[in-house]
Amino acid sequence: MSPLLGRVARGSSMTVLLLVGALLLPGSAEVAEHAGPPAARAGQVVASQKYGWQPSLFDFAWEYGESLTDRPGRGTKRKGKWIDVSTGSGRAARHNGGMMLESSYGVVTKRDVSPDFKDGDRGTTSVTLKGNAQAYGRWEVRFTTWTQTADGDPYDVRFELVPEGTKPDCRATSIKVAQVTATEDRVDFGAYSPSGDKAWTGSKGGVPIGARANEHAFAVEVAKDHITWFIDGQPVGTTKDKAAIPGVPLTIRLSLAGNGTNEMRHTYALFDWMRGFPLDHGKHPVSKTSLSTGTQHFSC
Amino acid sequence: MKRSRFRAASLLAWLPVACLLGLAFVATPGASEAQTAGSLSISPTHFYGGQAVTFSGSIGRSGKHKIWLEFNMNRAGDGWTKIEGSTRYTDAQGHFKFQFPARGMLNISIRVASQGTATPDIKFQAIDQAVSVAVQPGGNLYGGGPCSAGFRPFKAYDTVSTEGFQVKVDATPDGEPPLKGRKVVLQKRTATNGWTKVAAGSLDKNGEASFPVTLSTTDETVYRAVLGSVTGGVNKIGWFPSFPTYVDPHQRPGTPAVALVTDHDPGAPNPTDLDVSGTPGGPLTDKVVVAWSPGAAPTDPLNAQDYAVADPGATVHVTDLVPAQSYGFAVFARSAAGICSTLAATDAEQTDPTPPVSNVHTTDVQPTSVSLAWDLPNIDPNLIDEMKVRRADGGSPPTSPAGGVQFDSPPFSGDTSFTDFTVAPSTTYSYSVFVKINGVWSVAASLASVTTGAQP
Repeated sequence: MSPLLGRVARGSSMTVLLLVGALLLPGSAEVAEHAGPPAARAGQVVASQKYGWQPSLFDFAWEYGESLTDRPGRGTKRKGKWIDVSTGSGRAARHNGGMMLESSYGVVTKRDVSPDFKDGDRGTTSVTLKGNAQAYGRWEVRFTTWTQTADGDPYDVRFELVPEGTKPDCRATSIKVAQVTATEDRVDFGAYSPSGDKAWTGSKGGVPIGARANEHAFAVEVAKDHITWFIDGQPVGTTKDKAAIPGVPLTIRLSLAGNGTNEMRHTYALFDWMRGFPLDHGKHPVSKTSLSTGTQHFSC
Repeated sequence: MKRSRFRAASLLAWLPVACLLGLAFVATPGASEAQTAGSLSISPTHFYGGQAVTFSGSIGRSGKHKIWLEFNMNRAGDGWTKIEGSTRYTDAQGHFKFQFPARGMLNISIRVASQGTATPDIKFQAIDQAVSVAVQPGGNLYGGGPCSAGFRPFKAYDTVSTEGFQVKVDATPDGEPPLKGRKVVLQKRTATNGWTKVAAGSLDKNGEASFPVTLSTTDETVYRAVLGSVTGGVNKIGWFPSFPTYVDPHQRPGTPAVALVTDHDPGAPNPTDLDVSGTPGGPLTDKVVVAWSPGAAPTDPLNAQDYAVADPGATVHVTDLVPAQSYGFAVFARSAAGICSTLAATDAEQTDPTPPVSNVHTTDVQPTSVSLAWDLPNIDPNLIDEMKVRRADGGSPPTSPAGGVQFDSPPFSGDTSFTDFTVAPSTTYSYSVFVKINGVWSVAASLASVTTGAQP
């Protein structure tokens, strides 16, 4: 091909690519609308934008008056609803542009509560997405958590992938995309397999947690040959151990995990949005940080 | 030429790229940099996220124009962004009136934009939905009194199994706008932490609903209320749940069989003290609640003048009563969970009158002074609130603490002597001494006649 023909071909190809891209990718208005503050302003980077994972399969943005069972507002597969479970005093419900897990109605401090009454902040509250699972793909959720009391044990706020249909309290097969508590500036992540009770675990310190403004976008990419965890668009861990990859349709579970009937700190976990993406386009960045391996038994 | 055509063709092939890139840099899709013009008002001004809001006003110029809603999150660096699906058209005068679901955020701004202009913006404050659940059982359970168990509003309530109670749902616990007629379902948590429907109703004009419930179990039961979706017109208000609310059903203890009220010390005046005894405990009795009031026995400790909590069988020494007053006493049984018996064993007794002093006599009589002394009654002197000495001319002593002559410096409570320096020589007087306990004066203890000495 002559250089001129090559230029024509490249120009035409680029035009086609741009047009196709414009059709496939959401407009900037759409992204800005449901992504909250642009990443640079909020001090956050969103992996799905940074690595070109859009368009999303589903995007729950909580912009109007959505209930837990309303389908996602955007996405190429606008299906799914959130099944809420509370084993104690907590509730899952829409709140100010997001979905909030709150540990109880009002604030009860531990010193106010007789152990006999068991009426403070206790139990686990979770929502699990039903009807939009995929075995391989990317998932990204932005959330923050904070507390309002200084006594009592802190809740774990957990973003997991679990096989669809898993019981609410079962983590035997799961990918822990991010687990934080409001009292520590650290993010834990990992994966669990019931085969040999294997566990792959990692953590990232120095991540501000525990204030309303400390929102972070946590993401995971699950492929047939690796799992990579992201915090604010940064890969923080990768495992290529295929035993860690469930290989079954996975879905999001978000939890405010307590400790039985123990009185806990009054805690809020506000999820700005929840999104899922397929694997078939965009970049697949990996981290040089591998996860620690060990064992963890979950009785379920 | 051939070469030039190819050069032109290659440029033409890149032209769309240049146009697209240029557009990307000069235009922000969906948003507008617009001059402010026209007007905008919304109705209602208090609304939930997803509720239909009417936008009306003018774009500020005549002619039919394409318009759309834009929002601004009002954070540093935020701009105006078009709201998907909000495109409408003005009428020929540039006016508009249309409905659109309210965005469910706080502190965002909304405006109506058209090409090159936008209305003044309105600060949007969508109200988050709310709903609380309270449980109102029968008597002798709540109110902060001795039979209030350990309930905490909106979290855990005690009830009595087999006795009905009301589950009260309030969709406006913090003053949210009520949506009369909105469906509400009362649900009960299942053993597997799911929810099952118990009853259904609708909110009244105050945003409230009430459900009568009876439990035949003593197992802890958890309820929640779910407000139904509101979807008529452009409304998109989703269903909304309350927090779980615990109900702990208990068994109510039986009524105590006996209550016996007696003088605290049969050998002495008992103007303020009585004893309550004979309060046995049944199988469910952990404590007894002794409640009393002047007159009839109280039917509820919360309505009593006062109460005391004691172990079953213990004698309750009730103090600080009013002398010469008939009291009704009620003894309720209270379970370990804090549930009181509905009925009580009752008895009545009257306190003794305020005892007077005795042995009023003179210790010294002068032409211009009379010194008196007396014995205090057989009671704790600390019970005496006040004492008075009153004098009368002649031999008829005052019969009430308001009679006769009063003194600027009366005796202190518990005093046993007093000197009157205001007498005249060779004059006959009489005196009375009075004691007050808990607001009740004693009868007079008198010295019938004393005559001062002659002026030397």
